[in-house]
Amino acid sequence: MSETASFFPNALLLDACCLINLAASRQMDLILHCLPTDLYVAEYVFSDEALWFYDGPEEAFRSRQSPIQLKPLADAGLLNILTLDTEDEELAFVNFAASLDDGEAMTLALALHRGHAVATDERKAIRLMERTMPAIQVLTTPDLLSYWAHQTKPPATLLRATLQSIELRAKFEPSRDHALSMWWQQALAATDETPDE
Amino acid sequence: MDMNVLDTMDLSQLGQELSTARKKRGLTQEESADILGVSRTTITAIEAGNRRIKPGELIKLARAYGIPVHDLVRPRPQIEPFSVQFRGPHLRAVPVEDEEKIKKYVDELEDLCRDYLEIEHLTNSPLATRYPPEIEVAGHDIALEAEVLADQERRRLGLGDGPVPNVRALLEQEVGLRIFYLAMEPRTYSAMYLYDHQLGGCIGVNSYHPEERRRWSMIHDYLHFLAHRYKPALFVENRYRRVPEDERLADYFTGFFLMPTSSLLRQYNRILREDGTITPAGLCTLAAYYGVSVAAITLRLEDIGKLPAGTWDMLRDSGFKVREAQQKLGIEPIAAQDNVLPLRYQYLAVYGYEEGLISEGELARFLRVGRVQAREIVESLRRHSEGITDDRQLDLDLTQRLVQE
Repeated sequence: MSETASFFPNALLLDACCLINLAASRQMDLILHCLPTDLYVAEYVFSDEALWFYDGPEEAFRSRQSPIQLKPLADAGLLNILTLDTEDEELAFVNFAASLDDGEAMTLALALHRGHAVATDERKAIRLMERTMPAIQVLTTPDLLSYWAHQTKPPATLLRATLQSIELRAKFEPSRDHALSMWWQQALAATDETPDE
Repeated sequence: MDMNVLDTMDLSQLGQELSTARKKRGLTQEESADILGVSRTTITAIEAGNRRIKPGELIKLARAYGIPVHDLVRPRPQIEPFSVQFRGPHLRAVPVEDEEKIKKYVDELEDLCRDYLEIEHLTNSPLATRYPPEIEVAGHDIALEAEVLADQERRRLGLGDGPVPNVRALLEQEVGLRIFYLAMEPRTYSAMYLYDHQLGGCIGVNSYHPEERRRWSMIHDYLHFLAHRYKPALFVENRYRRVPEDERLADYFTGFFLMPTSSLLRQYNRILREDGTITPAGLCTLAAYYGVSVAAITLRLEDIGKLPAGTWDMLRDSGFKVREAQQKLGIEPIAAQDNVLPLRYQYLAVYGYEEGLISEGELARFLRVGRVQAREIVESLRRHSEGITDDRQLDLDLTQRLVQE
């Protein structure tokens, strides 16, 4: 089981890159519902970033681009929108904006001052967090998918289809040095007859 | 946390950025003052770099001006605004109703060039250029001077007298010009050229045009680079009742450069030997061979006396449909070089991303695409540069010097 499950944070800020991957999985609702945490998104990511993924059929996946619908999740209380509320948060945002785009910067500024964990695959942001706020936990897309898979134990074909969908529609796959790279590749190769580990 | 960037950055530079952004948005200083709940003199002081702006104020102004805070506070190269060059006489022939549009395209080209320079700074990859000295034109016989110049440039670039397969790659890689494709309306606007001491020669070409027309525009503006280097130029179809001398020189140069006389005569004679005569089909074949329009090849042949004067007018007036003729002959249109951004620009941006110098959000912004498309470009360029189809980490240093100086 992923170590992530044992140390799941109480509050998790979802960055744009993770949101795209989760939406492209086509299991976003299920995955978010199973996470044992309060979920947040920075206001800039919610309102200003035009996030989308490829949503066409497999043989022509580029034929349609679907915007990521965050408002229904917010309306349902699954996702909470955070704004910069203090001068310290504004200052942190401006400082981070010297190195990251506004959505990424706002996410990190909120994480720094509220102690929330961050869900991101963004390498530059992760390095910046390691340097400036090492106590803040970072979860990546494979962490979230791995948690969902271990908690809900979907059939191997569904898990495989979910990961394939992320690769095809969000053009994301974990880097080879990611701790869950092997798990991801094995899940892609598994069938319903493959025994669980 | 690191030091406060607003304490350490150049206030006058930030003030200038804010002033430029405010004006682009069409806001007055009074309106900006209202947004912040301060006096107009405070805005004046901020824009002059005499008063340090607070983070909350910066955020409010950035939102009001429609620009990311990221654009205001990150280290960016400072260049002279392009609009300063494109003023007055250079817009003289532009209808008043088009002036705002042209300004928009000039600003767009400036943003792209500035981003190009920023990526080069981030990745420590200055553009290598092979700029000849600016050429002085005597002006006695424009056609003859253009032909001599075209021959000279072809020799300098090692081209021989054959067709130039990829004009954009030639000018970007062999000369070191910065060429972007811009969607310009109205479509009579073909290209714009200017020179900046940090950027070198910069050209914006109309992406709506077919490839043979874009090639023509690029070489046309290349002449401006060679002979009128520090004078910005806007290339507009059918702009002048009386074509100025420098535009006539550029037109002649383009014809000689893309269709050298020695090569054209050789091809013309070959067609005569094979077909006995020159026909519209022969013109289509020649046009495809040189990567020019049928109109251009026909007019060129008229100029060298191989076709009667007025041949193109006759063909056009008779309803000659070039595309239909090409399709009947099985002539494929020239492969379009459709990238808005130079290939080198894309490679450097991807390299910066792979090295962790640029975030995904920044990469998407540099590439002018969404995040998913940015990921696709990364994947595509990674595979292209390694010449393989399986997934591997990019471990090729794209900025390494292959020849030691």
